[in-house]
Amino acid sequence: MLFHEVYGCYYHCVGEMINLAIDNKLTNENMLSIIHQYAFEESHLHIIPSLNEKKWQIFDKPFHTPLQHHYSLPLTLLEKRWLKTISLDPKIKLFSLDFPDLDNIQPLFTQDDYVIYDQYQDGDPYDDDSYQEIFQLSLKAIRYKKAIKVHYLEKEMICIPYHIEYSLKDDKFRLYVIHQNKKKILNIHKIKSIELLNEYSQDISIFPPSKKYFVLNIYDERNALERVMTHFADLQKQAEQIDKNNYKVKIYYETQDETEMIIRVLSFGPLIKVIEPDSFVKQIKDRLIMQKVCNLK
Amino acid sequence: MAYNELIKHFERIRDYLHEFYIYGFRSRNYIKKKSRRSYDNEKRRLESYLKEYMSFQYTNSKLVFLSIDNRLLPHNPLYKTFQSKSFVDKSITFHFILFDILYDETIQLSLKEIVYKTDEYLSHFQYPIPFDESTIRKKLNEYIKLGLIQMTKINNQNIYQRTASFPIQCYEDALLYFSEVNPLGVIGSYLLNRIEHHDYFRFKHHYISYAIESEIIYYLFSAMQQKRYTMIYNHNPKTQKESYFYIVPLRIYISSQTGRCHLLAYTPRFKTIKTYRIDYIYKVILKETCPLFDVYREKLKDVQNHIWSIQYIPYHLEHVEFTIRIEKNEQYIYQRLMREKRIGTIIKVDDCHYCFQADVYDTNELMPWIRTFICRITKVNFSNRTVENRLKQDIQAMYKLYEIGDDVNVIS
Repeated sequence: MLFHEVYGCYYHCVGEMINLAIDNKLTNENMLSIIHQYAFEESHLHIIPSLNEKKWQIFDKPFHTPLQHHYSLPLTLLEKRWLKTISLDPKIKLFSLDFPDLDNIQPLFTQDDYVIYDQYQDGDPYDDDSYQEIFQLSLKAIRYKKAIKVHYLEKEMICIPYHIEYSLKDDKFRLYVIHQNKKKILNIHKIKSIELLNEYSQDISIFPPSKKYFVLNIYDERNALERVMTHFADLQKQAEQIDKNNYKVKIYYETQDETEMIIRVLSFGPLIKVIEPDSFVKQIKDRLIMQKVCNLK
Repeated sequence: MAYNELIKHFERIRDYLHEFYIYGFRSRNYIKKKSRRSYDNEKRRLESYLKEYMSFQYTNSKLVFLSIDNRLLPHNPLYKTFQSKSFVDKSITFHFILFDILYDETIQLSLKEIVYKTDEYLSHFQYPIPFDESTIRKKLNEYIKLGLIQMTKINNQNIYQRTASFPIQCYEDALLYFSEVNPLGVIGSYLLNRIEHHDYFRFKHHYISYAIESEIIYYLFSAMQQKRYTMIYNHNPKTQKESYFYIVPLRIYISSQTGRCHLLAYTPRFKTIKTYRIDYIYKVILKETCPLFDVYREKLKDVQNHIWSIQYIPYHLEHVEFTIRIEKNEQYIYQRLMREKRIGTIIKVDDCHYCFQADVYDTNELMPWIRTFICRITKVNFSNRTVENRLKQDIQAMYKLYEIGDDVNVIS
């Protein structure tokens, strides 16, 4: 059963509260902060009265429980089966892990049971030993806050890595680093070598991405609205209905992805029209002019 | 009934999650099959679940939906909605007592001992919740099914103990990654809730809405693993039509470019493989074992080289061919063609022209991809002339839409 209260955030909160109560550290403030951290916006309206009114008999006196041990829960069978499933995934090699206690556990599914049909064909070389080593060292550097020396595109540079980004569509990992006070994105498969240097102590400021936007008009025919909203669901946007069949959507994207955005807009053909900014509209028009020159009959 | 933040069945909020998360601006009037109060409650519930990730604003009396950039998220916020299962007061009380009594995996107790110790705990309360033996037995059986408790027979008596502990902190990095890319990543998020974790990963092109379908996908995978016939119940929100199908689930097709999931399944009634939208399925019931499962799956393997996306139309292969211009200094376009083509072949026509060829079941499915090459398409040749004409008409319509006049040849 995937939807069960033992995975629920109310159980999670109460477990955390019991642990604090056993250590004699439970207070009103940390009860609220646990709820704020693990549960929903309005959960305190339900959890606190249920405990105080003894509907849930966990705390017999304020902040005191008759329970005697820190709360811990074994893994469910579903969780073990999920671990078994990822242990069979080809990309698990990236993490260099063993799963010794799952021999008698059945996976929830295998690679034969699904396909990502529109993933690009030139994904990273996950089977390559040196790729795996570079991936693991990158993760280690982030975890232990270490600077790195990388050999990348015929250059050597010293930088601070701060996260790894994966694209399911591209099937590629990219390493985000700060180099000479600027954000840089390195394709992990293009890193020739990586060396961990000293720990850095200063707080690094992660640069917010530089963003642009474009605005689309959608006339809802041939299911255009659903297709556009689904296709651009990965991006930040504002959407509003103008009238019965007309919609306006403002989509924000990272500056470096502009060409990709133009291509994505073109894939919809005449079902959508970019109305601003002029620079984006011009690029669409330029492509259409070039197409017209192709004299497609 | 008074508003309760938690829900008994996830299906209750699935429709709303689709409507609010994908469209956002659906008003109360649009969601026809629900009552006014139900709409208000579900909107309140989802806003409470997804407080930081979606919002609504009124500007000039129009409802504006705001969503955030998924690329900034280390975790899929929709997973949180799966932590909303309701329960009764007795359940949560007994849960924490039980795992306090069985705090160590070496402790073995009979039902009678568990009942006694439960009463002992509850004696600290002025009005203790009464637990009888049968309620506790029922709960223990439920936990045995969940894998939290194991039962052994010793001297003809059922003895209960917690299942062995399984350290998972060492899997942190793998959990962070797979919980976002695995089709049932929500279970990975349950595991992450159990450990201290950091946020090392981010995800580009991160379509998170497939999470809404997790329960249905779970049952469909179960059907495949057990090679079973399955009954699926569909609701089409556009037509409001309800239908059901007796099928053999064969494979789930997931799009990395929309997040949408489809099921390809053998359908005995039509004696062929058909495609079903998973977001339309609201109930899955596993039936008897299908002895021909491997045969059907082999058939899918045979035909999948002609499926561009998700459509299989038996005995109906169509030829698709289009040529694009690639200048000598534009080898990246050739690379693009090679990495994006899922099937078919690329033929070099001359130094500056390359032709894509494939035989597919549904030419329509290639249209969005072909349109991405607008600015360099020099020739198209489809055996399905209707689709070929539509592509050309679409390009003409785009000229009109962007006011590209007939004088461009002069400009060039």
